Amino acid sequence: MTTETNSQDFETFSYDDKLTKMFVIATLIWGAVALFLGVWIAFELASYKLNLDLPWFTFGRLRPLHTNAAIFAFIGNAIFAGVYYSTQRLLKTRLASDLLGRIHFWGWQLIIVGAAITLPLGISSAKEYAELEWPLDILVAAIWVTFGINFFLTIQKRRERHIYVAIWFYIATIITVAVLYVVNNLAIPVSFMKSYSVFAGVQDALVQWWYGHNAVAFFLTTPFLGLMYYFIPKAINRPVYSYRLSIIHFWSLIFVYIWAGPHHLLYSTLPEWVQTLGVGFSIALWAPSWGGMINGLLTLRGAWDRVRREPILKFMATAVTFYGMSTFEGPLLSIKSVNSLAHFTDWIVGHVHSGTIGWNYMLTSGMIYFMVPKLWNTKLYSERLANIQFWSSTIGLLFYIVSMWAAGITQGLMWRAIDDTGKLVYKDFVETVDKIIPMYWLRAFGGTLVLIGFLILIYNVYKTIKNAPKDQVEEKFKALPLSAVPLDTHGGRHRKLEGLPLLFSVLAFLAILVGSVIELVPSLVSNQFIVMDARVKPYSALEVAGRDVYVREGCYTCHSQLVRPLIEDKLRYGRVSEAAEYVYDRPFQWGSRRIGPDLHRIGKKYGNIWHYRHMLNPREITPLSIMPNYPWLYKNKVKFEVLTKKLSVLAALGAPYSEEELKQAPAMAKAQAKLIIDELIADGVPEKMVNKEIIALIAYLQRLGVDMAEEKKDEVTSTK
Amino acid sequence: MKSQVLSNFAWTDLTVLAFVIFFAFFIFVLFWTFRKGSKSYYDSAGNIPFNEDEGEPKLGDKK
Repeated sequence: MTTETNSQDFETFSYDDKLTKMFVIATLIWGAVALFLGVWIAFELASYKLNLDLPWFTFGRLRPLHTNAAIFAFIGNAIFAGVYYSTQRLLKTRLASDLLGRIHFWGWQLIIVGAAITLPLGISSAKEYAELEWPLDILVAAIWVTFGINFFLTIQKRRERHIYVAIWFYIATIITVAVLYVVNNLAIPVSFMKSYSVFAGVQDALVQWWYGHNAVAFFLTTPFLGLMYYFIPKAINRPVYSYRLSIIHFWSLIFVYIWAGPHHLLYSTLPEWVQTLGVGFSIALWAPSWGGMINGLLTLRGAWDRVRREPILKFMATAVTFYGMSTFEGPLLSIKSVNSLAHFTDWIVGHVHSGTIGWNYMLTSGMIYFMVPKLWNTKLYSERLANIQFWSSTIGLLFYIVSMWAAGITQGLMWRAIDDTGKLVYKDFVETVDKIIPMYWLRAFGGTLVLIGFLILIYNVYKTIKNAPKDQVEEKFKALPLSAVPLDTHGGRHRKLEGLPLLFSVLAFLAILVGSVIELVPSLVSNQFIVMDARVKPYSALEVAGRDVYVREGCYTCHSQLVRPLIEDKLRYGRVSEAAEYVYDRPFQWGSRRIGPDLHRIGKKYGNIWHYRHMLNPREITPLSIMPNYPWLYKNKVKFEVLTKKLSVLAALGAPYSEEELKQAPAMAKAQAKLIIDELIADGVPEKMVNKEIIALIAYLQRLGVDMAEEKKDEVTSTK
Repeated sequence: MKSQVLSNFAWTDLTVLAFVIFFAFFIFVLFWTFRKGSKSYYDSAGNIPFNEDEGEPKLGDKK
């Protein structure tokens, strides 16, 4: 190859590392917050008293804050830091726009602050990892698009013809997250901070877990794989083991991942063929995931002595190892028989954290240790502290995973234990909770170690920056413009594709679209798989108000509303759930973890006074309960006047309310509340409670799963 | 009309279709990646992270 060029052709440029620095600092701050919240709610499960009887501190409201903070604030900022650092260097160009970069940064932080305020206030759309209400959703979409525009403009002004594989992963991330986030959050606003999902019931569940699983795939995985493909070779100073493998890894991973969502909905009322597809592709996913892991680990081949000595490599090798472990565990948990045991238990919680802590936290730490000394043009303050962080986090994580395995499998086996006479061995749900409390303490302890490790990282970075030279100047680099870079003769078509970002992006978009369309569209455009049942009526006005309380308090973080067609579920909760029962549920509230029992058959199971006393102090009824007290439900008044608006929105989405029901919504709600309070007065409840939120919540709970109950009684007894 | 068409849709076939699409796609990527004469090209592409600080952005430069 002849590359005769004049030296005057070289262009001089610098990198916008200031932006990277800002994102690094944000990662550290929000990382500490997210981990602290995790530790806090872990202790809340070990001891209910930490819920403090205050609405803003209850598990149901803080758990969404923890997950959102961990995913979008901590890991999100880490992604942006790493992406901006590596992209500029891989493309040999400065970011297209410093300004768009700043808008991205401050916009993202604004969203996080918004989340930190709204979620503890109970402003939540109650779909996991997508709890933010519609104004913040719009902001997320806008900022994400800003990021995307800046990113693609940067690609356009690159000085490196070939687009390195890390960038491909970033492109897939940008495109897919935009699609997922927008579709899943489609909702009709009722007020400034309340909306109803355009999808209901089963369809909402399908869209949510298509989103939910791919939030894991395209927010926690693909960007980090891109980071892995850049930072591991850089840290060890040798190219990735196999570039070909990385290409196969990329295409098969993004193609397969998008299908895997329905494995969150096994044994649900989702059509069987969708579940089968979800399982099949989840198991297939094991192959590309391990392809990536092997590629990462083999990059370190022959240099394991350095992995032992250097903290950066230690973090990175551990991250890739945990990536391998959790992507093995994931397909395993997707197998239906395994899933029937593990679903709704702490096994899933452990699995998620082996990914987020083991993979994301570890790689982020390694990446920060790599970038910070370079960005601030100095040396790391202390390798010893980095090693202490490593061991503290790793041991903490092992405590976390092992305790959750033990808790999950123990509780899962207790739920399904049936004696010779065909009865449940552990009839009281709370027995199975009490049994795993020691595991909750161990988990909280492990989480604390991870948090301490992170605080050490913050201190280490702080000292490093403090010792850095004060006058930081942007380093200058030289490279030829793209127009002066000769085209390679070999490579042919593939060569071209990998140099054409637009075509490439379209192909990547198509790859994720295939799965989405085949899996989602048939279920969304046609209601034929839901056998509509005339007995199922929309919720009354008061029940809607109660349901919104249920959504606000995050009850779904501990209670499911899905009785699976499994013998243990039938024995414990009653009749198996049917798709027709959910058609008015916006959003669906199936939940993903039974910290408390399933609630789909709670309606009419107990009297109103049971619920009244239980919500005030669950231990008065179930001494071993770990549920928080909800005293504020007895003080807050139901906002009757907004019910007309709420019902109108629900009607617009398809709920068949009559004109009168809409107009008279507040009056009818009050009348229903009167009926409930009349019954409660006999048990000594003061009449002034009639307009309080607890009454609305009772109305909703008593309505749950009863519509199709009566007429089918005979059938249930005959099948026994 | 549309709902009639959809109600006759055999869902199970979609599972098979999905698998066929994926398998064809995967084989295609596999062959493409291992096509003749691509080795030196991929080797140089894998070295891009190490080109960044050099004046000359030539593919295939090794540190």
